Amino acid sequence: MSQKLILDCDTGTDDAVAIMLAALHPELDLVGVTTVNGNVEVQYCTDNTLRVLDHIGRAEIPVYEGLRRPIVRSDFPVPRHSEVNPSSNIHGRELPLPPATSRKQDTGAVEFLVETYRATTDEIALVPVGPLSNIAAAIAIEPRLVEAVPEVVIMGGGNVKGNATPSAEFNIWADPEAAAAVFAAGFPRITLVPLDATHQALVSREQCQALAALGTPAGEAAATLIGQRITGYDATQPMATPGSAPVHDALCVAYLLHREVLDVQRTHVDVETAGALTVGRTVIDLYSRSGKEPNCDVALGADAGLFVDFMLRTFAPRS
Amino acid sequence: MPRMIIDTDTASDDAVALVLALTAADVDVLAITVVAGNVPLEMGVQNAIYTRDLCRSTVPVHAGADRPLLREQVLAHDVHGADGMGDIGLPLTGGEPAPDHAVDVLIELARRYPGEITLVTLGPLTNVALALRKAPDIAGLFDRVVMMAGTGDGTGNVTPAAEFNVYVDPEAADVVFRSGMPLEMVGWDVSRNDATLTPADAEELAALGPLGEFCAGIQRQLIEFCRTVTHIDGFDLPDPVTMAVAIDPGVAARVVHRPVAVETTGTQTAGMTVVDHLGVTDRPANVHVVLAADRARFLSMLHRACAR
Repeated sequence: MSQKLILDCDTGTDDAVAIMLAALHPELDLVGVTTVNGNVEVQYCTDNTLRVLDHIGRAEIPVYEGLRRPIVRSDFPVPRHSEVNPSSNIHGRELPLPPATSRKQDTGAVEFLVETYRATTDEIALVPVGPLSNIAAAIAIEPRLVEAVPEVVIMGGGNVKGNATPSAEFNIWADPEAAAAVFAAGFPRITLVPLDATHQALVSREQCQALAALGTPAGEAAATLIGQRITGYDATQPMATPGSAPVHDALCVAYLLHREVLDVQRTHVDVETAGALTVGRTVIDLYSRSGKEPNCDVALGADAGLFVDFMLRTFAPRS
Repeated sequence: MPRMIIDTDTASDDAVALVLALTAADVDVLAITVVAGNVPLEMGVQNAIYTRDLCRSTVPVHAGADRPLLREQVLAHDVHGADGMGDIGLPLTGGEPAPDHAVDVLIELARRYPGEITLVTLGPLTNVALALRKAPDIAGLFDRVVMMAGTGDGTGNVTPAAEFNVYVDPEAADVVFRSGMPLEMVGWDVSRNDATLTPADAEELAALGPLGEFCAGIQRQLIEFCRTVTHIDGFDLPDPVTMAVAIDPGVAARVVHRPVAVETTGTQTAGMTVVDHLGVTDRPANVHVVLAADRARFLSMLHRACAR
């Protein structure tokens, strides 16, 4: 039986790869994609999501547009899209894929989440890989969502490094109150996939060539999108291995089917919402200094080889 | 010979750092200045005097600030014991500190030996911050300022995000990190990763002589803390590895120059050293952050000192 999931995305380049993995893997059943303000403004996230699904022939998967702002802050619309320096553009506003012909659903993302989890008798994993605004809004409306979601896999946060500020990762920083609400909500199973893990699952230019050589729409798109990321990272945040880039969000999808792709440690995670320098930091209690019970599995390591193999197999031609 | 001032909240690991410096043939320690931190000020003064005397040194020990600049005092008896020296029955009373206040000594010596002094800080940065406020000119008068402070990897030992010395007096640390001093930071991550002694290492140290026995013996409470909290087999030595870097820069195996700032306002992150590893701010690099130490080189320095 396939694993059902909902992806909650702020679709830029790495979200797009996550969507393709979730939509194409035969053991995954992508119930729907919800979008949220983040890497780019939400309407572009939605449009990019539709482009991706059209491009790989999965236009039937419904897309629901979500929040255009953080749940509390008015000073954080902050899409990461940069018009100043195109060479450092990890995401771009519009993905380099043909315009979409399909359309988003009339229902909004938060309604969809609430109604789907109220109605379902299936286990549907929730995989938020953008700011957590939609999820926080959904649990505010329907607190029992916490019991209906068997598993949450979040891309966000960082312990050693931050990429939005020195101490905070973008997704959590972009809506810290939402993230704090999600970690405190009481979900029985949360896995946090922070930069500490994603920066270990780097994809190289050579591996992009291998993806392109698959000759499938998904393989070719993944090669183009990850290639764009590598150019952006080399220009702005070179990785330990230059000529490579993390594909954060896609790693979360791989984890649903391959638990061994991440090294996780059970601990307490909270979100700083008040610090002048640290707002949006995931406070990861590796040595149990907070006195709080663990609420989360945090990934501190990742297996790059396994991750890239998973992409190559998922995007290969189907016989 | 390099001149050195050691600012310390003397407890069990500070004492080992003092042994390293006071037994080093090529270091001229001008003064030991004491600050409240691991233990109350008077206890730190006695622990420093006891350790100095054990090393047969006559370096003056000066008492400094008895509390953080703004915050309620936080102590670390859980890490170092009720007497700060492992509660092994050492006679830690009766020592007489030298008359001048630590802050005045820092200022006077910095001005007397401009560009010559390595300042090694092993405790909260209260004394140094007060000295900078009283005499801003001293910021430019030190050759090096080597601090056991903060973490380079975001992982704290007193809260999830903060290391003890910075956590105790973040405002003082903020003053120092903004001061323009030539700062080198050895964080708790370096200690945890590269400055641990297993029980066998400790036995070997103790067998070297009275100083070795002292350095290993006073870690009794620290061993308990490491067993229950930080899950280190044996114990780690933050202040000694910092001192080792100060004495021999080659002990630092990996150093990066980074913008580092101190969080003073977070509800969960106060006292965190915020290190910009990915270059996402425009702030200039102000700290040489040691990220790894050469364990073998550190241990051999420790052995040399303890065999004296």
